[in-house]
Amino acid sequence: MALLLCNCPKTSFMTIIKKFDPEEYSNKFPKKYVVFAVVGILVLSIAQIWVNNTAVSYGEKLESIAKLKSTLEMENTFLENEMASELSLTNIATKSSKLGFSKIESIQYIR
Amino acid sequence: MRIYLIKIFFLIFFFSILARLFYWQVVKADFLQAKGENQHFKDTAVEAERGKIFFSDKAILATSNPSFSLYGLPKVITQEEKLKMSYLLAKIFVDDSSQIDAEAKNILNSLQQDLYWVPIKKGLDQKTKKKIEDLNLIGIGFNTASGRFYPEGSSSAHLLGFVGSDAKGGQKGYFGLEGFYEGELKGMPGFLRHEKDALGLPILIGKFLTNKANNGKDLVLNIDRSIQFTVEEVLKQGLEKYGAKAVSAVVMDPKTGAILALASFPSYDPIKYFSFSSDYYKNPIVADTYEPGSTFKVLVMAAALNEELVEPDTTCDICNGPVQLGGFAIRTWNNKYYPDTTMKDVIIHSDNTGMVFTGMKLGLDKFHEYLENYGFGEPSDIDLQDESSPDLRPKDEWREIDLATASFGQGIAITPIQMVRAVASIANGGYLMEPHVVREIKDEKNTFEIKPKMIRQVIKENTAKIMTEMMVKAVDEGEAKWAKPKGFKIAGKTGTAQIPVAGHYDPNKTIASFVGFAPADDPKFVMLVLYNQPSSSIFGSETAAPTFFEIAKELFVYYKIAPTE
Repeated sequence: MALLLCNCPKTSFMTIIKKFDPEEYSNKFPKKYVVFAVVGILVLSIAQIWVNNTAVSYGEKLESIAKLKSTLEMENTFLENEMASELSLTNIATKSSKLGFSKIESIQYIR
Repeated sequence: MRIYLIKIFFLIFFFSILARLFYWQVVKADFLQAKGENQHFKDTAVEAERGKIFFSDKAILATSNPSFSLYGLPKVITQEEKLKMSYLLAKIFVDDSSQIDAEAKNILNSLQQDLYWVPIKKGLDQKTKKKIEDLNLIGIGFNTASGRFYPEGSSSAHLLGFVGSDAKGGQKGYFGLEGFYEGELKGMPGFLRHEKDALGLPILIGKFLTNKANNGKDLVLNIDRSIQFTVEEVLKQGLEKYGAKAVSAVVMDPKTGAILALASFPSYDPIKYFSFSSDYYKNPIVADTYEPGSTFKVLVMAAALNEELVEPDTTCDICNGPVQLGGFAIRTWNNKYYPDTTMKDVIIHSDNTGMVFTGMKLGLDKFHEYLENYGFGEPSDIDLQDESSPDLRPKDEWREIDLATASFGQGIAITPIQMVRAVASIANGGYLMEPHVVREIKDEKNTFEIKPKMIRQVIKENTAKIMTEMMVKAVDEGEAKWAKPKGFKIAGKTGTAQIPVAGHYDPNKTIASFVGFAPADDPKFVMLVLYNQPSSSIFGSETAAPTFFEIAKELFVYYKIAPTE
């Protein structure tokens, strides 16, 4: 009976029941991921299209670079060979005789 | 019933498709796959660049040079354009204005053919290509090919050989270095396979497959280009001066066997080798055999000295007149005889009877043994293609007269390279060296050095010294003393060998030669000069010896060697 006479606040006897919202819980995360996934796929698709298109046009560039390389190598070979011709003894002998140089006929040795 | 027929029809239709698919997927799978790949992939052959050949100072002797072939498309060019084009091209191809019409006619004939593609001109250089391109002609084009380029022109043709075509149309080296080192020089071609788009352009993100081409290896020679140039210039003058059929010379470092120069005339142009008779292709220094004549005496005398059978002052007791042997009379070259002559004088006077005396002292067994030791009867193993090596006659086939004549260099066949190598053994103290033209073989990563190779010791060092002094005396007091450069100590010997014609020796056709080395005490070079049938004089002392000394004079300046006497 003493328990009935207690001057306790009413609220201390109240049971707090937390309310759950099952719909809110299930919709929050999937929505975010789906959006990310869709955006990601879209970005990647656009990137792939861009890369493919760019790569296709680079093929032409690659071809022209390869041709340029081959042309430059060929020109380099021509220049090397021209230099070798200019430096050949046959050429030097012809040019030197035109300039008036001649073979040493008499050599004086200093002892 | 209808349903039944339709079912059968669909069943047959289904199996037909299945059969066709089986045919495509299994039976024809490889063929279709290859066809698909061909449409989708582009294969490009990557040619390997032929190796370069360098002189000892790394100056280029032979290299590759792109050349162009001009082709025409007759179906694309109108008749009027063909005529105009023929004359425009002919003016570029021909310098001589009188030949323009003929050249234009040739070009026009090519373009008149009922073909889609015709070759017009091969082997065009860059400048000619540019001139043609500037004409802006329609219906012509160029293909690129690789040819050989020789900065020194036709120099060293016998040494180099040439690059021609093999059975498949590829490049192949023939004769000389190009032939001997074909395996090293040619390299391994590669290929490139890549995916292509509809326009045939490569797809950057497609599949690539490469097999890198391995370029040919480069050769660095022992040949000194200054010496080679000097030798060639002097030989060209000598050929004209002495009216000889041919002339050859080889210069070797006696200590290492390195070939410093090697030339023969008449020669050919390695670029236009096809315009010359194939007789010119072989290198006479390694491929031709000859009877050495009196130059051989130094080798026989050195053998006798080495065996201590004679000494420089040993007197000859059969030298007072012609030596009678086996029904033959052996005479001296000038029919002069020196009773009780010494071995030293036998070499100075080039006395045949004295050499018969020496040969007899040596005897057939020792004589034959020394011939083998000097390297006769076997290839010298010089790194040039087409070396020949005449066989030594078996010992049991030698008669007394054969020994007698061989002792002064007749009745025995050798090659010039064998001769110079044998004399080099006197110059270097008695050692037979292997002659080598190439010093280094180089690729992109490694360098392989060819080191001097000593074959055997033939004579003792002291014998070599004594023989050298005898050869010095032969130069100072012999028939060729008038041509010797003053003050220099040169060891040498002249040779005049008659040429055997139809079973006998023709006295007017000779091989005139001179072999020697200098400076005698510390030789920098050993050299052999050979004239084939000189007409101004048949004697080596009046043809080959002056040529030898003229080259030697230049070499003394080049090596900075001052006179010592």
